[in-house]
Amino acid sequence: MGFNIKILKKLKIFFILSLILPVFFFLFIFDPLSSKVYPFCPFYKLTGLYCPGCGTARALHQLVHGHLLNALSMNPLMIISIPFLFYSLLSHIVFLVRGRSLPEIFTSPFWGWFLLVIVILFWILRNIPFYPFKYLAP
Amino acid sequence: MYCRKCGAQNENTQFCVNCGEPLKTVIPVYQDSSRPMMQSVPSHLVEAILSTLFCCMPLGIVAIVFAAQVNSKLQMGDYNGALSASKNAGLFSWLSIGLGAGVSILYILFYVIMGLAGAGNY
Repeated sequence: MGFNIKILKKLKIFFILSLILPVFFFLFIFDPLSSKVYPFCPFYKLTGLYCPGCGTARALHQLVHGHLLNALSMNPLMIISIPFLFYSLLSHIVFLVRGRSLPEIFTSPFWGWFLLVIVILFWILRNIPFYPFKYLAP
Repeated sequence: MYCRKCGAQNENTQFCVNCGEPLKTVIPVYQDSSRPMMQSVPSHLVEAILSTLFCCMPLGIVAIVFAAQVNSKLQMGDYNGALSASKNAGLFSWLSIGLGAGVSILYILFYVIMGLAGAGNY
């Protein structure tokens, strides 16, 4: 049982790692601003409003080209989340290699609800089309 | 089932026929060892973030709500509630990620095929 779970976990990590490089290569080559290869956001298409994930492709394109500020202007919350996502991935890899994961961060129940509030606030505020808030829009 | 207190054998009764001790199945309460329990129920918060900020959002928000419930319920001692919240968080995250990735891949394939067909016409 535990053996199968470990293999499953290993497969999951390899799957994720094997996806990351091609996806970033694709994002490096095709600029979402000028290329039509990328699908549109269904929420934006339906409502005309930005969702919390709008601008992610454009931001990642800027990021892999080394333009951190441009990336932040497209989707700041997503860029801020990257170090945490990277830590989590690293923790999974360390767990598979050494049998122990990195110290867990944000285990307190507070952080989940905090994140929920941040995401919903971000979602609302980036749709307000004037001065301080328009910087949150892509 | 045997009574824990007096050892008398009972059928499917709620209380021991001999001494009256409650016979309900014991649900373990983890008061002192809440930390190891905390680690054993994944909150899937990372997947929830991933699905909200990188894919399509409505399912991602649902996933974050469930993920946030996991550690709250664990802290309240509601182990089963935490488990089901964890399952839901995982389900909605992967549903959202799968939908997002699936639609993107189909769209790109469609675009490439249309592009090839268009190139053939000119």
